Amino acid sequence: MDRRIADGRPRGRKIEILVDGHAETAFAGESVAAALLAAGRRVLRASPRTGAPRGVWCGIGQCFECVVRIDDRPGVRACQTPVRAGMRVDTRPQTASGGSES
Amino acid sequence: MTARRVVIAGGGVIGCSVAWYAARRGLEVTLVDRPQRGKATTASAGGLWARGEAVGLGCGVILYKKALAERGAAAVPPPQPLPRAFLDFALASNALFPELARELLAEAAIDIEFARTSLLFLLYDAGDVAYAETVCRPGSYGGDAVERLSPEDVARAEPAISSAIRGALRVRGDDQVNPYKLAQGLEAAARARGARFLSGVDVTGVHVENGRVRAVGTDAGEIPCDVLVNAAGAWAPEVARLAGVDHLPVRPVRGQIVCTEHLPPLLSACVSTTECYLLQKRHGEILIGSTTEEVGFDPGVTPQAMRTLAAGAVRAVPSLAHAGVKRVWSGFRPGTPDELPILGPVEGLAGYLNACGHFRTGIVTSPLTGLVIAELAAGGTPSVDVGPFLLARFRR
Amino acid sequence: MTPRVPLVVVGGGPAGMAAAAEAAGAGLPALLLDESPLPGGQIYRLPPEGFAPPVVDVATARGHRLRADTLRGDRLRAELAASGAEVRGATSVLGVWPDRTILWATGDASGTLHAERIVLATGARERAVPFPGWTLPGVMTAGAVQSFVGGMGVRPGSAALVAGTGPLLLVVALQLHEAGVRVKAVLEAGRPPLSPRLWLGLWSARDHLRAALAHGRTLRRAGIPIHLGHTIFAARGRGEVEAAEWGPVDPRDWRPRRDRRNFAEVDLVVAAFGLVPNTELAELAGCAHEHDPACGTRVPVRDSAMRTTVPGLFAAGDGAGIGGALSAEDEGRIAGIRAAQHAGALATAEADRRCAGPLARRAALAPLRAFLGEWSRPRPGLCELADDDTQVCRCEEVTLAEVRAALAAGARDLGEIKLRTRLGMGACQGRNCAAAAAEIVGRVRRCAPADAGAIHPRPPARTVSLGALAGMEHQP
Repeated sequence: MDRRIADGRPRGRKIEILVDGHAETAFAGESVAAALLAAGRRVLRASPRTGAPRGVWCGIGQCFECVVRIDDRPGVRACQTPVRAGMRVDTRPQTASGGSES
Repeated sequence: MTARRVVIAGGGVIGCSVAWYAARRGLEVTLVDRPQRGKATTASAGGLWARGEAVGLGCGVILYKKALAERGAAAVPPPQPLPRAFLDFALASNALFPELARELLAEAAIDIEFARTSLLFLLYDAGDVAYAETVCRPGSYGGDAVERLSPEDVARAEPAISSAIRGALRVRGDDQVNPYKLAQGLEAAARARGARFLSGVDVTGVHVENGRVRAVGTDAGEIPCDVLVNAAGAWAPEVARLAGVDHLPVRPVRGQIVCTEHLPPLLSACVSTTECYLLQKRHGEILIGSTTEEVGFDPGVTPQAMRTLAAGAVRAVPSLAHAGVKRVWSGFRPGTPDELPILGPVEGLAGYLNACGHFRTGIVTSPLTGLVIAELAAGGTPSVDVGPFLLARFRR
Repeated sequence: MTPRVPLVVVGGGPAGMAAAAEAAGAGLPALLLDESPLPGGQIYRLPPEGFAPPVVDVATARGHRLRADTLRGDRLRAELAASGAEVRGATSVLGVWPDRTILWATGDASGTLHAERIVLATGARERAVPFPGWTLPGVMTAGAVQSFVGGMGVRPGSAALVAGTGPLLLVVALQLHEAGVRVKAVLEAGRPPLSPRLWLGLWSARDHLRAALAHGRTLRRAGIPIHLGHTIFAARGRGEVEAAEWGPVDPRDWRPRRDRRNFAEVDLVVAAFGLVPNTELAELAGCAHEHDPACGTRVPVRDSAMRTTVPGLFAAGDGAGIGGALSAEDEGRIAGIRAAQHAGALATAEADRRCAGPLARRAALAPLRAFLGEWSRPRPGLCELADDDTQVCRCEEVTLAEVRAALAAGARDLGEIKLRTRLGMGACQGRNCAAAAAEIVGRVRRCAPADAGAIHPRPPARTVSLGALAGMEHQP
C-alpha cells in the first residue's frame, strides 16, 4: 500500500529504509512518521503501562507518542526525524537481550 | 485518660512519619501543612544512604571535589565522617524500611518502591581511591558493608557504567525508595488510624502558658494540644519563633535535580561520583543530583547546574549522552550547622518537640525520627537517645 | 562570558518573523531562534527539502486560503531576510530566566545568551480533549494532519471524521478531501453566537468570512456534511481506529447527548478543538499571567506595546493569547518596533507612527476574534466526553477514574494529583493533560478550573539530550 498523494508534487530522492526488518520506500525529506504512514503503518509502539497500541497524535514533536527505535536508539520521535537511506526503524517491543520481539 | 493531643507542623516526610508512628500509638494527631514550592521530600531522589551519607558520599563528596578544584588541596580538609551517633541513628532507621514498606502496603495499599539497589561510589582518580581506602579501613564506618570493586567487577555488575574508572566502592544496605510515595504512604496509613490532615493551613501562633504549649493557632482556627512537633523542614525556624524558640539554626540549602525521560533499565545500583549521583527509578527515569546552594528560598534552577549534572552523568554512564532530559527542579534541604538533625525537646518549654533540620538525610532517617518523636510525644523514653541531636548542643 | 545580545526573538512564526524584521529594519540587531530548519512556524511551514507544495491552479486559488498562506509566509520570510536579522534555525529555547538569560539547544549542543530584550513569539499548540479511544492510532490532531497532507503529501487514512471547533476544522477537512480522503462528516461543536454585537462587528472582517464560506461551499458541493452543535463521542477499534461515535451537544455547555448518537466507519479521526498558547517560557521568565476565558488558559499580562510585566520582555502572537496568524503578525510588528524604541533605535514619535498601522489592523480584526472566540470558547460539557477508562494523561496512562480516586483520597489540586497518580510527569510535562485535569478538579471540588492549581513549567521547555547539556557554552 502506498498512501502517498499522487498529485504531481516534487519529492526528495527515493530511498529505502528498514521497518521492523522489512524494506520500505521513502523519500528524502520525509519524516519517519510520514514514511511509516505512507506504508500504512500507524501503530508505532505499545504503551509502557498497559501495552496499548499508540501512534502519532500531535505531529509537531511535543507529545512523544510517536517514539520508535531508530538504529538501536529507543525513544526517538518519528515525526521529528527525517528518513535516511538504510535507517533501521523498529516499532516492536525490545526484548531483554536487546533484540526485537516479532 | 484521654489520648495526648499532638499537633504536627509540616507535612513532609518527617511530619507524615511522626503522624503515622504517633497515630499508631493511639495519640490524637492533627497535622497542619502549607504546601510550599521547593518541598525537600518531593524534590529528593529518594536515596537511602545511611552509610554513604555518614561518610560523605552523595552531595558531600561532590561539594568536596568542587571545593578542591576551587581552592586546592591545602585549603580543603578531607571529608570528615559525621559523628558516630548519626551513623547509628541512620543505620537503625534504614533497617526499619523493609518492615515499613510491608506495613504501608498492607495499611494503605501504597507501594513505596523500596529497592535493594546498594550504592556504588565510582573511583575516577587517585584522590577518590585514597578516600575510598579511608572508608574501607577496619574500624571505619564501612565495616562489613563496604566492598572494593575492580573495574572488571563493575563492568560485570553494571555494564552501562564507564570503563574509565579505577574501580568502585559498593555499599550494601544503601538502597532507594520513592520519596513521595513514602510520604503518601505514611500519610494514608496515619489517616487510617485516625490522624487528621489539614492541608493548605498555616500555623499563625503558638499559645504558651506557664512554660507549656497549650494550643496552636492556625488560619483555620486554634487547635488545643499537649504537644507541638515542629516538622516544618526548611521553614522550621518560623514555627519555632512562634513558640518562642528563637535562633533555630535551620536554613534552606537548595539542591537541583535533573530528571531524564523513561529509559530502559541501565542501572541496578545507585551510583555516586564526585560529580553527581544517579538513581534509576521504577518508571525508568534516571534522577541526577545534586547541588548545594545557599540562595535563600529561590526555587529556580540554573544552566550551570544543568551542565554540571549532565556532564557528571555522561562521564559516569556514557550512553546517557543520548538520553533526553524531561525536567529539572529544585528543593530546599533543611540545613543545620553540623549537618545533624535537630530532634527532641528544648529547655524551658514543655510540650514542644523539634523534628527538623534533617539536611541531606530526611528520607532515610524519617522512620526512626517518627518513632522516636512519637515516643517522646507520648511522654515515654525514646528507643534511641536523642541527646546528640538536641537543640541545646548549639548553645555550647 | 555569556554573549550579550540586544534582541532575541523566540519563535519564527508570523509574530516572530515580523518582530525580528521590524526591529532589525529599525537598526536594532535581532537574533531569531526557531526550532525548524527554516522559519515559518506552523501556519507558514515550508515543505521539507526536495518537496514542494502540490501544483495549484492560480485561477482557482483566489480565496483558497492555503495558497494565500504560502504567499504570506514567503513575503514575511523575504522581509525577514532583507531586514538583516540573524536567524538560527533548528534551535530550541529550553528556558528563559527573569534576568533575560536564555538557554538554547540544538541537536547536540547548548549554550546561554543574555538578551537585553526578548520577544517571546512561541505560538500555540492544540487543545487536547480526552474522549474514549483518543489514544488509538489513527486519532490525531489537525496539525498532524496538515503536516502529513500538506507538507509531506501523505494521506493519514482513507475515511475520516473531523471534529472540534473553529475555522481550522474546515481548512483541514478541505485538505483531506483534496488529498483523496473520504471525509464522512465535519463536526463543529459550537454554533454561531447569538449576540448581535458580535455579528455587527463582522463587516470589517468580511474578507475572512468569504474565505470560510468558500471552504464551506466546497465541502458541501463534495457532499461532505457539516454538523453544527455536534462532536465526537468515541473512537473505536482494535489496534487502530475502525469506527467513531458522534452526536449532538447542547448549545450552552456542549454536553454530549448520547441518546442521539451516530456511528461512522472511519479509520481517521481528526481532533481540532482549537489552540492554546505555549506560555511555558513566559512563566519561567516570571511574567505575571491572567486567566483568558477565550482560550480557557492563562496568558501573560501585556500592554498595548506587547510588554509583559518583566522589564525588557515582550510577548506577541498566539503564544500570548489566541488571535490567529494575521493578528500575530501585527503584534509581532508592534513588539519589534517597541523593542527598537526601548533600545533607543527609534524615537518615540517614530515608533508610534510605525505602530499605528499594525494597531489599526489588529483593532479591525478584534470583532472577528471576538466572534470566533465566543463561537469556539471551550464549554464545560467537553469534559463529560471522557469515561472512567479514558486516559486523561496519555503519557503516564492515568485514567479519569484514577484522577477521581486521588481526589477522593484527599488530593486538593493538580500538584497533589500529579504526585499521587503521576499525571503530568510524562514526556509532555502536562501540556496535554493539565487543562482536562483542572476541569475535573473544578467539578469535584466545585471551584473554577483556574483555581485548581497548576503543573508548574520547569526547564527544559523542550527536550534536550544530556550530551547537549554537558557541553553547554557560556553558563552565566
